[in-house]
Amino acid sequence: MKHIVRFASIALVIFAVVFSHYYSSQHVYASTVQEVDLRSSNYPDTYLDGYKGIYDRAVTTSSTITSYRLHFLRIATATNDRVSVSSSYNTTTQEAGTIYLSQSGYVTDVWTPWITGSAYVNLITTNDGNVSTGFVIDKIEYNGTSSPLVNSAAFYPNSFSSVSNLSVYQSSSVSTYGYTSFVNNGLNILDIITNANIGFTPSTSSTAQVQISANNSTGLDYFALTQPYSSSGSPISSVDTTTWSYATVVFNNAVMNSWGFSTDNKQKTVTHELGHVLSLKHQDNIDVNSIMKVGKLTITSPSSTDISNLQYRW
Amino acid sequence: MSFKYVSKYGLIPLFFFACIAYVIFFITNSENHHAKAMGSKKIHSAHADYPVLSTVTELTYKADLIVTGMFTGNRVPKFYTDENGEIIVRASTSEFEIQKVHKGVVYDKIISVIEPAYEDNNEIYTIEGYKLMNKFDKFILFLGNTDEGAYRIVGMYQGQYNTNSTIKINSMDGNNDETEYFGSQSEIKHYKRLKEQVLELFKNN
Repeated sequence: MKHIVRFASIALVIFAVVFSHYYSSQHVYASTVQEVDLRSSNYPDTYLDGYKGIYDRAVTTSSTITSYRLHFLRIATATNDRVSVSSSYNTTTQEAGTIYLSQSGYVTDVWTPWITGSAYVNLITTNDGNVSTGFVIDKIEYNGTSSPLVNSAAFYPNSFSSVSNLSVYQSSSVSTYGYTSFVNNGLNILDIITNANIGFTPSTSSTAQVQISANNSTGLDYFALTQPYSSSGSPISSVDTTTWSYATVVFNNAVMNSWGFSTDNKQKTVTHELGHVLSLKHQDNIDVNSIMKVGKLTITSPSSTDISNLQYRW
Repeated sequence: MSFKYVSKYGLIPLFFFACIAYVIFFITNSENHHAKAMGSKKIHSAHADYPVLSTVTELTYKADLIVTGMFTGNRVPKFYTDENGEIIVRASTSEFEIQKVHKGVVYDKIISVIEPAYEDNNEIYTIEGYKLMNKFDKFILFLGNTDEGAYRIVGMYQGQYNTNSTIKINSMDGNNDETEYFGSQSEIKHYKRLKEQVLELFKNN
């Protein structure tokens, strides 16, 4: 009897270990859904007619993602036009892969099969005068783990020596172009991050550590710019190790408006730029959720990745 | 003249002569070093949030004018300042001679283009890695209308392509005359992809 009890106990422990390992493995490899915004050119307006020989969107993910699939929120094509997704691309086999719509009309809520490696979303249009709106991909679901830049890799090698009490000057142009509330929201969002010594103090001095302005310049195609300077007034390059003395931030209202920015898009750009003030670098992979991704996006506050990076640095 | 006299009075001018010769040598040598440094100027790249143009279709759509041609060599600084006179953006206005129009209508053969970079004798100031055009190569430009008397380059570095196929696309630490773009590794990948499409569509058209 004693032997039976001992054997049963051992078997129970082995079962528990195997089960917990299996269970945790399932958690590690559970898929993740991430919001993305991949649109055919000019969506939701109509696409250009008669374009062949090029793909419309290339999708690259972190190398640690084993497979993924894309979700079309909507696809709309005209007669003789097609939307397809292929795992490789060249000009002659451009239509390889799954064709999702090849007739006049629209479909919604379509998932691609699981994909490994790069994907190319092809919108092929015939020059026949018929156009529609194309496609928008709103989600990516992936297996494996996303690889954002973390800890020191997420930062430039240069920064303010401390960001616990940065003085911030907003010139009158910030209010003129309607960015005051975006700036104040952005500063507040970063200020309240716990376990990070980040703080901002409004200043009326134009020589404050952070000098924010806005303009309406159509000459250069940027939404916003941050430029750090040394104590001698020289600009600091992204590869320098010089300590920042002050930084200028400028928001380009004309370009944001010409790209049809919503209030969320503007808040994203403002918070993104304030992320640069804290020395955060851009995050590039499509699967990464971060305020530091470049472009017209709807994320308005730092993601958990951004927050843990800021907690690491500050 | 005795040795004692020379050592007492002749060594002093000799010492001064040696010092002057050393200083002249040092200055000349420094200038040589400086001249070498000019070949690899320090690059300052401002951090921007900017429109991402995924494909040549999108570039084409956003451009009012697409042209092939060459920079004439005439370039003037264009600095943007805030209300307090602080320079917030360093750029340049460059003259560009059009050889072919791919999209749009333009009546002048020579146009002005605002480039998102500025270069002086010692340093290069660039927005997100854009490299100023040289006057030796042919370029394809995707341009937008502005109210500033010159065209805007669509998407900054994403709207300018050197058609010289041997040109390299380098990261920030690789500045030389053979460099087309100074971006980060992922931005370089994006730029290369766009360039493939642009050259395929426009180089021989």
